Amino acid sequence: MENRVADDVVLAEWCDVLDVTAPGADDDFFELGGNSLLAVTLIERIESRLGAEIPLERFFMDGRLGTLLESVRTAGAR
Amino acid sequence: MPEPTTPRLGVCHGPDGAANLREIYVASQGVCEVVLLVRAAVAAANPDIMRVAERFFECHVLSGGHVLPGDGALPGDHVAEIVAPLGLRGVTTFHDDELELADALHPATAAPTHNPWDKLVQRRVLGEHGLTSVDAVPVDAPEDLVRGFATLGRPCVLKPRRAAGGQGIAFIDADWDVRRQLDLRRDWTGLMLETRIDPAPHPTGPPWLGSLVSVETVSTGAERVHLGVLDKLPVAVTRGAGPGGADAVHVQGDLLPSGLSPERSRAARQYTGEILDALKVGPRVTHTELLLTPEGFDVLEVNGRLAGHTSRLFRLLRGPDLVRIALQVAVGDMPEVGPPIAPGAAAGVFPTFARRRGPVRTSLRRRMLREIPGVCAVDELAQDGADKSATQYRIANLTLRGDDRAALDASVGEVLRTLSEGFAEGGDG
Repeated sequence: MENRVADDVVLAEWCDVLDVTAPGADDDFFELGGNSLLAVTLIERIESRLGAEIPLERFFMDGRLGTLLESVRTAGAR
Repeated sequence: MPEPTTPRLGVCHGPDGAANLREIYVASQGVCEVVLLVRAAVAAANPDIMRVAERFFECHVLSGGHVLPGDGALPGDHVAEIVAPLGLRGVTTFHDDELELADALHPATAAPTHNPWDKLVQRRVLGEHGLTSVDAVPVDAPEDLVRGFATLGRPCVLKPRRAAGGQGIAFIDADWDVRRQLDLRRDWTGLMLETRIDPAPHPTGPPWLGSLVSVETVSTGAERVHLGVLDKLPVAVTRGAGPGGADAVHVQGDLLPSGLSPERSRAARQYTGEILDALKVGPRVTHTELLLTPEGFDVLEVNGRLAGHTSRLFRLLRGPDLVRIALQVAVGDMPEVGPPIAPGAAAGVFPTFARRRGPVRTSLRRRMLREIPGVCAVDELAQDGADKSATQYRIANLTLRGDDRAALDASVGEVLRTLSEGFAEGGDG
């Protein structure tokens, strides 16, 4: 799967879970109102749609959108 | 030489505590290996939390005949059986309901001479030290209330000795209020009646600011460091709206740093230190609430854990990580108290509905609130058509940041105005 498609999935799920529009790469999920349960929801949705395994620990440590996009690309979405 | 091992720390966990699982996980890195200890009833009621917890932590559900403080029994030898095999260096909690359990499970804690988290004990000890002008009596039966109100002879508050979140509180101004309690209240165990003090308005803040402040403190074995003084929005009280004849009492927000003058802020820290000394509070983070009075301050209560939301405000100002500090002192390490908070100001604002009945009526959306300058996050917003209880009667829960207190106050004022207008048609204005 192309990175662009994976990025679109991540952005769509990010916006839906947080109810935001036009997020930036430096936006932090947890500073925007995300909590542990929402984080798991977000990661599971992305994993389900892309078939990629996203390291939740890394997302907990760094909740920025840019880092999540990088994780998804690294995970090699199918 | 053997590799140094990371100390294992028990954390008695529950929902809606002052730190969530992610905050605990992040703060524990390089400090300790967290072992979550969860009561069986809490685990059963919160399967989602347990599912997340088990991904990150070793978890133990406390059940199977253990006698736990707070379960209606005194801690006994049973509790030692829980932690002995786990090799814990300490036990702490971020949840008010679990303070006694964490203290009882802590392997290094000697049997306390008093429970400092019992608010009646706090009043007695602080009264003996001349640190409060509030008089208090125990109430364990209806006749105790009648006798106590006649004895104290002033406007009073009836409240649980051990509870947080404003649960079970009733303001008692007159005999009529006493009769109401006698008619409606069913559970009379573990209550207290204390006199109410007339507050003084906040000397420097805008009119929506409450007459109280809090002081966040980390105590080590050697010293107490006051990490910050925060202002508060007023506590919302809806008379008779709680269950069993209680009033509904809600905190509505915090602002860091306080707008008090340096002298008064210093006096608040000094007074808090004297309170913690009198209560013999050991190594931990505490949250002490002080009422502003014409004479200065009087203590409202001392909580043996950090306050909800405040760690986020400290993070926003690049200050110390309060969760990490709490973990460090719990394992016996010296906490990393620095750096001081950066210039600027931050607030958590979570106002409640003035009227609790009826559905939510609003056209406000989260993104509309986010457009207000200074708003960093909207964690919660009551949804149009929903029952107000769905958000525990909160209109919204926002986090704000400003370049200074004046900018922050302007943002908070704008948020409050927007919420007031945005929910006015719901019968709440």
